[in-house]
Amino acid sequence: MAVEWHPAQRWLHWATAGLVAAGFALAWVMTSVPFRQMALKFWLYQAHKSIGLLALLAVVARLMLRARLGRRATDLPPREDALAAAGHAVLYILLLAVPLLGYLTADTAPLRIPTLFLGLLPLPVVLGRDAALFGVLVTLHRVLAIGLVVLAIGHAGLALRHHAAGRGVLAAMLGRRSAL
Amino acid sequence: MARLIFLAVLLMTAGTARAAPGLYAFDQRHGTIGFNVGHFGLFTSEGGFERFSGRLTIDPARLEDTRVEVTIDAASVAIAVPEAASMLKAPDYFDVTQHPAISFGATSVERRDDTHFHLRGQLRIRGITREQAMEIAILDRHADGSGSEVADVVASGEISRGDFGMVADRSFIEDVVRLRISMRIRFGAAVNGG
Repeated sequence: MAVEWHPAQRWLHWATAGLVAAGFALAWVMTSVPFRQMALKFWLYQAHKSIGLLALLAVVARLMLRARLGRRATDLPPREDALAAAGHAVLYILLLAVPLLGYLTADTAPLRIPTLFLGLLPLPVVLGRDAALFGVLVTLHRVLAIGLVVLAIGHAGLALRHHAAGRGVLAAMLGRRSAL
Repeated sequence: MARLIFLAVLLMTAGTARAAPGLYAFDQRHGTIGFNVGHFGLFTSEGGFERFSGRLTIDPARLEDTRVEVTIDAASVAIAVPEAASMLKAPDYFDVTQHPAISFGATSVERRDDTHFHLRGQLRIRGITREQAMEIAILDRHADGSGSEVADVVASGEISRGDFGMVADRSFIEDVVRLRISMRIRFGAAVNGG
């Protein structure tokens, strides 16, 4: 069990948080922009898609680092520690599932609009246009994304609570000296 | 009874008449009218019309005498996204309330080779008539099982939407719209046999 996070883990954690927040905010904006503002809508969707894929890459990198470095030790009672581990597992699952579902949502959409990663690199079509599947995916992507954000807010709230209780988890994630 | 037999023989003869000149009616059951337009290299949108009717006067032996008239129900414009379909029906585009029909009438056909023709005609969209050229290809001409001659007639051309007053959204939708009309014509099944 690792005592501290590797700087790359800390950096990737905050990058993931920023990407999830930006992706979620963009989702609201891009779906509210009227259809006739097509160019704006197009680029907002592209930005949303790139942000989601960057989040996916960040999460994959984090899981690889965690597999190599192990889980950071906590000073929580065993029951709370197990709950925290379960919460983190669900966060990781959603962080993987939401961008993957987003990719497939774009992939099966009625208009063949490419996904241009970072506005440049066209990504391959996996399933292709499928109206029925698109209907399911768009809902699933949205519901799980809301779930992810709710869970992330809970995660942040608990981190603040631990911080208030004098545990050094937040300080450690910010790269300050851990009280652990 | 004798009359019925005579009629049956007549129909069979008409059905097997090969390469007979004739007038052919066609509509959405015989093929498709599609279009596509680019979005400045980012992607291409495709659409079509679900209701149309046309008359083709064609003599397989003298294809250069071909005449075509097509009327399209503008309100039948179809595209995968509902917002896009509504936009295309609205005044900025086909303005289907004011101009319910799109029409095309060919005025000359020039033979390029046995299967390719250059067709000129008048295209009317939103009440504006413009000269329109189309390239015609007669594809896969063959006799079917019943002895009728069947061919796919594919007409393709490009229009400038701006020429017809459709100037909206120029920052995202290119001016040139490519048309592709594809019809399967059964030459033995002329409407009037001649």
